[in-house]
Amino acid sequence: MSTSSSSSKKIVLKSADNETFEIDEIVALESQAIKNMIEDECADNVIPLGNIDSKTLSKIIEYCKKHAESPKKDDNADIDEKAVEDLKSFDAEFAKVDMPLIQDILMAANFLNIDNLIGLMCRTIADRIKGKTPEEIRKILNINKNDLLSPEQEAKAREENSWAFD
Amino acid sequence: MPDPILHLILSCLPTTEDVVRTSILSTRWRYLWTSVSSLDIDCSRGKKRFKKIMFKEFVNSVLLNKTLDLVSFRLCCLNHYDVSTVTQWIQEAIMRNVKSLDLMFSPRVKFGVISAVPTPFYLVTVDSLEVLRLCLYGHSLRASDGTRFRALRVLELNQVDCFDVDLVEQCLEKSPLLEELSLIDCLIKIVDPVCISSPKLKSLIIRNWKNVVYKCERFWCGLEISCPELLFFEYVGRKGEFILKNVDSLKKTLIFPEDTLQQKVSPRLGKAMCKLLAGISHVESLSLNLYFIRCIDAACDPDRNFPASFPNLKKLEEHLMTDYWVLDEVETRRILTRHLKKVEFLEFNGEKLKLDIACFLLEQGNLLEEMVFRWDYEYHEKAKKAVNKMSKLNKASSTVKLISVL
Repeated sequence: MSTSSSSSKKIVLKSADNETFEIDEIVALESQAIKNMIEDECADNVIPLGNIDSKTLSKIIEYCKKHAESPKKDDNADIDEKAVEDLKSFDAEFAKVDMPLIQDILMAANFLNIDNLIGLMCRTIADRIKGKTPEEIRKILNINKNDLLSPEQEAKAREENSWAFD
Repeated sequence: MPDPILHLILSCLPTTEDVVRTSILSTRWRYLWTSVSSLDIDCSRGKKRFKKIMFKEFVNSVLLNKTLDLVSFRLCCLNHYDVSTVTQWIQEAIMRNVKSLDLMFSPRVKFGVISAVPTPFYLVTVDSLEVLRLCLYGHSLRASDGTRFRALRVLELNQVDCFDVDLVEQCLEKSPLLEELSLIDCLIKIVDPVCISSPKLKSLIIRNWKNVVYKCERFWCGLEISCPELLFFEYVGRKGEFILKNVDSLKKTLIFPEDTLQQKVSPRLGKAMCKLLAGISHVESLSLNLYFIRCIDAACDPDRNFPASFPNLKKLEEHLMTDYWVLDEVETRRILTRHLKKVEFLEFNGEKLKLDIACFLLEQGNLLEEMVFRWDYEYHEKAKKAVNKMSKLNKASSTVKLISVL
């Protein structure tokens, strides 16, 4: 994936499966981790991201591009309102992906330190598990059967806060 | 996923019940919920029959379980518990340096004893509190002398009876940093106007729906505002006198005096409103209802006090509840056309009268930049036609944009 404007400085990201992504520096700066690397001048031309696959990375770049492009808070208040709305609907669309990818994006955003994206993914997961039964939540979060509470432990936990389970 | 991430996910869950239910997911999740620093507990949520003891144990459990500071605590327990129980919960929240407190309760009182909630309850040394929202379902509140809200920025009193105490004034005095004040359906004493004077206040909202509905005529006598940093002022409810002393920063104002059907138009109120508008002619956004405009219209000599212009006005909203309109009135015409940059029609249904107004504004308003129609749900076809018609008009302003919101 490459961006259209050619004037600004470029950064190349390399995914775990050796795919390279050339992006504008301004887009890369959405990641606090990359920003720190660039500021400390320890970023080479190519930044290897050995724990992020290309599918996840391209989603993350899509997110960072959109957020880097949208006007920042300090502009005119009227523009603000529209930009905020626009960004909101982008975020809502962006989050419409399956659970494994959400978790991959979340882990990658955590690694790259992209606060907004971490928040978006956490809210998405919370939305999907709220009001669900424990069985459904375990399925959504893919919780390992070996980690379940014993029936006695579960009964005790329910007993401790019976209002929430009633 | 690492623990900090799971904590974040938990903190995004809307209710404390949701959060606590994760304790049985797995061994790893067993105690994760105890890290959540925002509590939202509501006795009215999804139970067939309210279980008083169970709820009390739950509140105790989530409050006692932790050593961590609380960011927010919202509790709705209606009239199920007495003052001392609720007091204890509030104290526990306060001991955990709670920043935002949102309480809805009606203290159960013993027969024959009408007790005020002794407030700002035990909040004497609450330096952490930044937001306080109280809904007391008509109970009164007593401020104790030593109370200080050193960090309070937002105060909302909902259905609090301030009938014979100057509670609002006291709260303002005790909260030097207050930025937002909302009084929702509070009963306020009769004799003097309520005096709202606060150096940092930016937003003032007064809504008296209940008073309108129940016709509590005597309970509102007016308002005197002196807030140099006030940006937003909203008033909905009984007509009363407004004295605006020091509101130079005001940008956005919404005034809806009681607008019940068959409301008698009051020339006297009209005069007062003209005077009021003259005092805030520097605002950028103004929302009025039809009753307000009709009163101005009915004032015998509107010329004298009616502001000649609103030099900064960018947005004027008319909430048209009925079919009448007073566009023929010269002054309305003048302000509508001379300075207006944005007009927004709410609940627009394409009827001729409103279309005429829109056309009039388009033809006359030479500074108009934007006209927005928020259409009623059912009128898509009509919307298209009307916008077509208007786009063909000979417009006074060359830059005006027509926007339809369906």
